[in-house]
Amino acid sequence: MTPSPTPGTGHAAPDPTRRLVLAGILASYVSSFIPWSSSHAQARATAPVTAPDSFLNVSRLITGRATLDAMQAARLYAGLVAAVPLFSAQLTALAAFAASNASTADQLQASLDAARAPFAKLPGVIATAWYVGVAGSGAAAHCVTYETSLMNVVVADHLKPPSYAYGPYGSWSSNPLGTTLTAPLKATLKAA
Amino acid sequence: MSDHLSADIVVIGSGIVGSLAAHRLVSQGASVLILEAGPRVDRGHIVAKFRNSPRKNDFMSPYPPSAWAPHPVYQPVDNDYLVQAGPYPYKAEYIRMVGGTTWHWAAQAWRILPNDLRLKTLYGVGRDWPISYDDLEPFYYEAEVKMGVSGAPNTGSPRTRPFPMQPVAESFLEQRFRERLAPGGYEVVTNTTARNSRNYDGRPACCGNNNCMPICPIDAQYHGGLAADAAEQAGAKLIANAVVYRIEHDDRGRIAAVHYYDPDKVSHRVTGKTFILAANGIESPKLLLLSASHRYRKGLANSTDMVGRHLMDHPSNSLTFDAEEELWPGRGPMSPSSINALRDGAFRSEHAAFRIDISNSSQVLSVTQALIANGVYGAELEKRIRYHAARQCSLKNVLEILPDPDNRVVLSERKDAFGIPKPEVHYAMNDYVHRGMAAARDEYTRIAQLMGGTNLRYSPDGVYGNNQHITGTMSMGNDPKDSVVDAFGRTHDHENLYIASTGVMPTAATVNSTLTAVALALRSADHIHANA
Amino acid sequence: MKFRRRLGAVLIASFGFAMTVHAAEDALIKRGEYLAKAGDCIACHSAPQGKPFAGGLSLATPLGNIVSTNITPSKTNGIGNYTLEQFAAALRGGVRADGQLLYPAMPYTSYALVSDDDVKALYAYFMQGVAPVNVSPPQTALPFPFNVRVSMAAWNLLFLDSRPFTPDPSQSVEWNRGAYLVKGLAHCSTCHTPRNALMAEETSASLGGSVVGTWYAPNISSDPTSGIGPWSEADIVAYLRTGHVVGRAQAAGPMAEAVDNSFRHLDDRDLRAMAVYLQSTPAVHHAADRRPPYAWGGRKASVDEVRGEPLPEDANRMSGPQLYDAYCASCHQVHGEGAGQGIDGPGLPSLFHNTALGHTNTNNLVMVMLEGVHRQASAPDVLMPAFGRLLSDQQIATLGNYLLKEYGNPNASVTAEQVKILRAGGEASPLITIARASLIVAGLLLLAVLLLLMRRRKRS
Repeated sequence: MTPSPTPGTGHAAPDPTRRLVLAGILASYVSSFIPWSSSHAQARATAPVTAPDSFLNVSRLITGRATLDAMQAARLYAGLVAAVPLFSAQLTALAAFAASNASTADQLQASLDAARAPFAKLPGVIATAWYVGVAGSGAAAHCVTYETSLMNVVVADHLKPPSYAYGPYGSWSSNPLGTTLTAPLKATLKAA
Repeated sequence: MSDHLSADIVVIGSGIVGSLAAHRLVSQGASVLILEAGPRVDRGHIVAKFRNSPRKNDFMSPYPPSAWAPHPVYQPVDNDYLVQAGPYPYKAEYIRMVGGTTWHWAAQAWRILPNDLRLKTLYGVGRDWPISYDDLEPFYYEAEVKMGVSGAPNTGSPRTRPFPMQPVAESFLEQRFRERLAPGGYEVVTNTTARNSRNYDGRPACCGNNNCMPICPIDAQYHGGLAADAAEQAGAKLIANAVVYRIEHDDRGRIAAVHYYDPDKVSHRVTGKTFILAANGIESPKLLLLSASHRYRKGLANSTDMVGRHLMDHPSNSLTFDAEEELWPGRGPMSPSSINALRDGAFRSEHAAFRIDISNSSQVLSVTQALIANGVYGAELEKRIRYHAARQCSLKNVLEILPDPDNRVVLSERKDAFGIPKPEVHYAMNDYVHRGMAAARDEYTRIAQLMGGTNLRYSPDGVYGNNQHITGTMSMGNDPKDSVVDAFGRTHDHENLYIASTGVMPTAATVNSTLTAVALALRSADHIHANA
Repeated sequence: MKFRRRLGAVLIASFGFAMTVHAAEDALIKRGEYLAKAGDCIACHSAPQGKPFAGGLSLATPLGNIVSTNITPSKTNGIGNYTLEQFAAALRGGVRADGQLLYPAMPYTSYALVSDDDVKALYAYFMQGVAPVNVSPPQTALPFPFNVRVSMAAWNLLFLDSRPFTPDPSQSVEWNRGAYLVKGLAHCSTCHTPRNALMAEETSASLGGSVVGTWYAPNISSDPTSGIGPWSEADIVAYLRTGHVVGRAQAAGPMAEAVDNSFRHLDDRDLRAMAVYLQSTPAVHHAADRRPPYAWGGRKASVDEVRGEPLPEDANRMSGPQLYDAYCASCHQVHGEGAGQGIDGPGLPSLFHNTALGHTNTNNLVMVMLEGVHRQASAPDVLMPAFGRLLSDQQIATLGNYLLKEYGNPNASVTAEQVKILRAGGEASPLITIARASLIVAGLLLLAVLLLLMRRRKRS
């Protein structure tokens, strides 16, 4: 019978009294008190705050979906606030812009670029959050969703998100147009 | 200093090459100790890290380096570990952890062609190997059995025994490429891969997770982690988090010991009878150069200043296009088939040879990011994601750059956290490569035409990708003046120091290097055992 | 001329007769081979990578290891010198040719029902259809007092019913065939019936489920909640033939071996007969079972809760969803629904509506995580890898409890202690201690009686 795994032979990770590690622990502990810091781990431990209406309205515009999962919206909103500087302020401005211009998804970016709005990049940021599941960019980028990211939902009748088994061996040989993967991934809980 | 560790065979590096050599030797009764600079890793953790990654197209994101055994990181911020001296970047990715870099490969396990070993004689370019294909053939087979390799029957690499198993089932995309390209004279061939097409070696058959790179979640493909595990199960001792920083020789030039740091920078000395350096094609020459002594001022195994020289890779260019029918890449393995027609021929006197790789990776992420970058939102975005995810295809090549002594790895003046000099790469392309790349581009155009392709997007001219097939830096040869090791991988300068690495390959050939490096290492292990 | 013709005729006739005899012998051997598959002799009487029927398989029992014997027709190391009577006595009575008694790890209490005709066929197969192997496996050496085989005589007296199978005239031919197989050669009760303190089957709870070392052999009585009452005849036949039924169960561990070695070789009629019989057995009900074990759970995903969360430094503190994400979801999918079931085979099974997560006894859930599911060539794509080397006792307990709450029977649970015991091969039996203690007590009593008698003598 295989024994319960014991730590492998070799040297353990460095002595926890090493300055670097201690500094790291201290830093993340302190940053947990700052809701808009780029440290995100603590924000997830409890249920996220409900997303504000401005975010839901703008999200419906950008995704073209009348109903969005409330829990997913809340998580994405919390992730964006943590990862994108001045997100709340930019969101308010974008929501106002869209309302006053009666924007549609098709002309949103063009009109923002034409108006040289300082928040012109925000729709792309929000779209990335919903479709790719990532909040923020560069070193601050943080994965909020994967399986329920809309890009994966949109193709779920034919593809699994990479790393999930397509099916038993050989099942990928069939013509995708003749076969459908069983029920597409549904986001959790109730609609917004 | 502490400890007195010793073994018959001391292996530096626990990647697929070092671990399989270790496994062979320990199974034959030797005591074997493997020293690995980096930590142990667990497959489940890597899978979780991948799914939690904000950069899923960055295959290194599930493998963050440790402070004591850094490896190159390019995203989101370059960690400047592999110092680029230019003129051309050599941005290789490799993993310093137990099991090494094949944790995140696509399991391409080709043999090279007999002509690949005789470039100089046949085509007047490059150099000849000191061995023939026939010398290597039995060890190729041994490696294929150990790794579980299958492939198409006619790849140009002769074999005395059939593959251990059938080729992996084709995806629909592959079938359509094969059918549509045949009238154009192209034979689309299922790749030779270390991927299970049935339960093998206690591991399941491929289930189409389409995630070979960066991690196969179910171990349907072979990798160095499995090799390291097999070596340990067979009785080899493996010490992780052991950064070898110096190889020590005695006054006769024989290797007496190696010294390593643990993560607290405490030094340990390990003695042995025979030493195998298997720390990849960059870290191995780095260590040899680091071990310079009063007697060997240019570093170990380097009396003729060949260590680190002749650095090669397989540079790539590519074409992305939309096929005219719905193919839905992303169903099955990521890299399942190739066109082999241009791997060999008289043209090699004039331009580089190459293998063309047809991708089956899911295009969903890249398609989505491109559309969002273009300001496409709403229902239109979703419609176009589906449209392009179903049709976007990608071709790339694996092209043979020739050995050039000025392409090399040296020690940088910059140092890592332990004060060890970082590796520095000097690298340049030449017209032999550029002409080969141009020929490849023409092939891609014809292939796209046969697929009814539109929206053709070529990679920028002169900008080539790196495939981390790190070859040439400790070339094998009969003449010590232009080589570091002999035909058995034994260094010319030190009779008990062997090198097991892609780095001993004197030319790169046109296929991924792993199987060849493993076969060479098994041959070296066979030699060590015979001369024990 | 006449003589020659007569001689010719006699020769042809005797040749023909010999051929007929040969054909009859061949048919008998073939039938014996079939019956040996039904009895699954090979499973115990062959060691892994060993020659068929040459013995050497060490069976871990609570009393110690019992090593199976060489039953090839080797005259020096096997049963090559056995007469038909001696063969029958071993098979049905648990007596070796040299008079020694067999341990009931050899299920002779079930094989006692095998008919004379079938014994003949089996004998023909073992004597002529099996290659002799001239190597003896190691001897069985149980701790005292069980190394004294004579103790088996008392056990047999209590528990061996050596009456042959008698058909029940009120039942159909098919039912009787099923009863004959299930109770006899297929020896289902050996695993599926609980045992009493003296390790004999509790006939009052026949087929009511039992732990065999580590794996749990489920309740296969006809009970509608605890047993397989709601299974159709087709379900039972499919399970025996293939080892899986979507929406119910899949075989692992010893049952997977039984399917691979035995049941998949039986013909359709026999499997249907067994199903008919199994649907009629007395219902054995356990109060703790609130639903059939395949009826728990549904699609559910918790991965969003942990997406983007870094893993804890101490792997033993990974949460259920984190463990599921890292080790299980790749195959069993985000909602536990599996993939591709029923296309060409079992596919990647669903976790809900699966007895593996529905039984009150959770040994099988733990065992399948420790050892995986392995089948032979008949099910070439079935392989669940073992996780015993990747996961600690604590991780398996955390993951097991998460799976039960998320996809299975939330009233069942797994403990780290249970995992530890199962890794070690199961609970140790108190029987050795009891037996030795009883002997000591008996000895002391005897001594006391003797002393009393001696005192009396002295007085008188």
